[in-house]
Amino acid sequence: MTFNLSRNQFFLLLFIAQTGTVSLSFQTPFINATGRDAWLVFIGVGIFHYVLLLIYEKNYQYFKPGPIASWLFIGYWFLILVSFISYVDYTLAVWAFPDTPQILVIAIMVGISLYANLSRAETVINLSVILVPLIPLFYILLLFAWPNYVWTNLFPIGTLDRSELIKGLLTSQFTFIGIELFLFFRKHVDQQHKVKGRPLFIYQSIWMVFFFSSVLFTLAYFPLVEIKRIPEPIMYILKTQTVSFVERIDLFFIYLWMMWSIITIAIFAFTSIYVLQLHVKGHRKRNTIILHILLVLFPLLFLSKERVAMIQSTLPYFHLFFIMVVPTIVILMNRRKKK
Amino acid sequence: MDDVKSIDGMILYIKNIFHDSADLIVEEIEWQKKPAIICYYSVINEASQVNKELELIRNRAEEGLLKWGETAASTVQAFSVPTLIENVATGSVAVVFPFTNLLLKITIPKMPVRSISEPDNEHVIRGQHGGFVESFETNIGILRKHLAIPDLVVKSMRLGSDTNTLVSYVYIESIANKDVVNDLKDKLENIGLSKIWGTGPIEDYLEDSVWSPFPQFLNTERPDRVIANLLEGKIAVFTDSSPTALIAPVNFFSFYESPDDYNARVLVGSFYRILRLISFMAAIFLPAFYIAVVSFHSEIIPAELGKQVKLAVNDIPYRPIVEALILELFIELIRESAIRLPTPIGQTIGIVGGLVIGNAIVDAGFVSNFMVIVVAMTAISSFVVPSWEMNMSIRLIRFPFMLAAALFGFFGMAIGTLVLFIHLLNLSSLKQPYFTPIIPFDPSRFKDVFFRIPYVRMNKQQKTFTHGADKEGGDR
Repeated sequence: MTFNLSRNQFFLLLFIAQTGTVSLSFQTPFINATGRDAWLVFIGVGIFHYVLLLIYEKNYQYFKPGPIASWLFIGYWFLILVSFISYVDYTLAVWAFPDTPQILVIAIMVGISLYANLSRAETVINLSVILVPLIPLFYILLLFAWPNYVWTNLFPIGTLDRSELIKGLLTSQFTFIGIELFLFFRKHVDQQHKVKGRPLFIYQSIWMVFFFSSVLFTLAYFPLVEIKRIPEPIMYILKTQTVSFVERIDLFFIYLWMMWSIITIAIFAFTSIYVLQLHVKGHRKRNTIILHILLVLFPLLFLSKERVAMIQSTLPYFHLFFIMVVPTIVILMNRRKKK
Repeated sequence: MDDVKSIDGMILYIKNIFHDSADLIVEEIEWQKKPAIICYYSVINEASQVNKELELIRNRAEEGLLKWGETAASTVQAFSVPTLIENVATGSVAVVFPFTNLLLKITIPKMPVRSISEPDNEHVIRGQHGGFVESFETNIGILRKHLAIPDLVVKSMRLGSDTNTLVSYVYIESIANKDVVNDLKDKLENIGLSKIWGTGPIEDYLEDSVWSPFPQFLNTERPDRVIANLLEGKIAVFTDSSPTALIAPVNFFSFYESPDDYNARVLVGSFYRILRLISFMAAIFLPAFYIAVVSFHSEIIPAELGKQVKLAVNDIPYRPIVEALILELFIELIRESAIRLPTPIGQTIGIVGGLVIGNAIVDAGFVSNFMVIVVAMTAISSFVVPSWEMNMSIRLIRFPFMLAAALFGFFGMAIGTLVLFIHLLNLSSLKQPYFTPIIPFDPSRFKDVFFRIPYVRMNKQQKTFTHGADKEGGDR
C-alpha cells in the first residue's frame, strides 16, 4: 500500500483513532478509580502522553517491526476491535435497539468498515473528515450545560492513595489507545511537513483539552456517588439539555458517536491490513474480507455487560505492553542493527 | 460508346451504394471535355453554391494550375469507394474523375441548424442568454468568439460505425492537464459503440463509475459555463448532434456553481451558493429525517409540536414510509408529465397536481399535512441545483435514505451517510478526485466551495487522490 499523508491528515487520523469509542466510556471507570482527584491525575496522564509522543517522534525511523511484532500488533488491534464493536453494539442495544438482533447491527457497522477498506487507502484515511464539522458541535452542546456545572465538585483534592492512583493510571490508558498508530504512519507523512515541535504540541493540546474537559464536565455535573451508576456520563449531560427545536439532543449524539466509532473501527482494520501487507504480499481484498467476517463473529461472544467489562478490564495491560514494551524492543533492536 | 457505358454504369453503381436515395444527386458533368460524376446530397448542399465552387475550380483547371483542386473549400484525393462514401455521407460534394482516378472533394455543407436561443433548463438572471445548438461549427464558433486565443485546441473524430457522428473535444493547451487530455482521447478512441446520436452514450463510456448515481461529467448548453471551465483546465466534449457539452474533470461542488454567482454581487453570489449546498442536505435527508422521527424518535420533537404531529399521523392508515412513497411518486409523476406536455399545459398540470390533488389526498386521509410539507420542501430543495443531472441523482438517492430511516431510524441515516460519504470519496472524474477540494483538502480552493470569491482566478482540477506534490495540472 503506497500512500502519502499531509500533517493534518496524519493528526486527524490519530485523533479519531484515539478518541472514537472511548470518548464516551472512559470517564466513569477513571473517576471511580481516582475520585475528585481525577482531573489532577489526568494532567499527569496528559504529560505522560506528550512524553510518549516525543519519544515516538524521535525514534519512529527505527520502528520497523518484524513478522512476530507485526502479528502481535495485529492480534492486539483485533482485541481492540472486538472490544469496541461489542461495546458500541451493547450501548446501541441499551439506547436504541433493544429488540433488533445484535448480529444485524454488528454486521451493518462492520459492513461499513469493509466497504471503506475495500476502497483505496485514501478513502479510509480521509473518512474522518466527515466528523470535523460534527465534533465542535458536540462540544458546543456540552458547553450549553455550563450553568449546571458545580465547580466546587472538583474539590477537595489530594485524597488519593497509591493503589487508587495506579488503578486510575491504568484506566486512563483507554485514552491512549491508538497512539501506537503514530509509529506506523509517521513515515508516510510528507517530508516537507514538520511534525516535531509546535505541530506535535498542538495535537497534544487538542487531545488534552478533549479528554480533560470531559473529565472536568463529568466531575462538575454529577456528584461522585452518581457517577458510579452512570456508564456514559457525557451522554447523560447531553440528555438533560434541551434546545428550543429539539427535545433530546443526546439521541443525535449517540449516532454521531456511533459514526465516530465505526470510523475508528475502519481505521484499526485498515492498520491491521496495512501491517499484514508489510509481510504477506498480495491478497489484500481476501484478507480484508476474512478480517471483517471475524469482526462480525467474535463480538457476538462478548455482548453482555459483564463480558464487555471483562474484555475492557484486560485492555489497559495489553495496551501498556504494546505502546511501551514492544516499541522499545523493536526500536532498540533496529538501532543496534543500524550501528 | 464504351466510355459512356462505363460512366452510366458507375452512376448506377454509386446510386446503388446510397440505395438510390431521393435526396442524392449523382450526375454526369463535363470536365475539360471529358466526363466526370458529381455526387452530393441536395438537402445538405445548396446547388447554386456547388455550381459557383465548381466554376471556380474549373477555371483553375483550365488555367493549367498545378494544384487546381486545392482551394479553401476543396481538395483532390485519390478515388476510392470508401472515400467517396465518407465524403458524401458527411456532407461534402464529391466529383469523381474516372479517367484520372481522382476525387475532388468540395466542403460547403449547409446543414440545417436552429438559431441560437437560451437553454430552457439553465436559465440565468444575468449573463449570456445564448446557448449551444446542434452544430459543431456554430458551437466552436461561439467558443472562438469568446476565447480569442491560439491555445484553444479543438480535436475531432468520427465515432459510431452506424452513425459516423462527429465528436470533438476542446481544451486550452497551456492550462489543461496533458495526462487528462490523453486519458480522454484514449477513452474516446476506444468507444466501441456503433450508434452514437448524442452525448448520453459517450458519457457512459467516458465515466469512471458508470453505476454511480452521481454524474461525473457536467452537462451544459451554456457557452459561459463551458468557457469558465475551460479556463480552469477542464475539457469539453461536443457531438455534432447535440447542443450539450460534457465537461470533465469536475468535482462534486462544480454542480452547485451557477454563472449567476459570478454575475451577481459577491455577497449575494456567496449566499446563494451556500443555500444550494444546504438544499443538497435538505433534498437528501429531510424526508428520511421525518420518517425516522415519526417512526422511531418522536421524543426529540418539542411537546407542543409533537402533539400535533401525533394527531396528524394517527389518522393515517399507513406507515410513514408508505405515506412518503405515495407522495414522492405523485411528485415524480407531476414532474415527468409537466416535462412532456407543452409549457402552458405543463404549468396547469403542476397547479392542478400540486394544489388540487395534493389537497384532496390530505382530505381523503391518504397522507398527513406534515408529510406534504416535508415532501414539497424536499422537491423544492432538489430543484435548486443548477445541474439537471445532479438534481436527478439527488432525487434518486433520497429513496434509499428513506428506506434506511424506515428500517433503523437515525441509525439507518447515519449508516447511509457513511456509505454515501465513502462512495463520494471513491468517485473520480477522468481519474481526478471528485470530492476535492475538501478531500483531498486544498485550502486554496476550499473557500470557493462556499463563497463566490470577488476576483477572477483560474483554478485547475486536483490531479491526485494522494496528498503531496504534483497537485496542479498543466504547465502554466
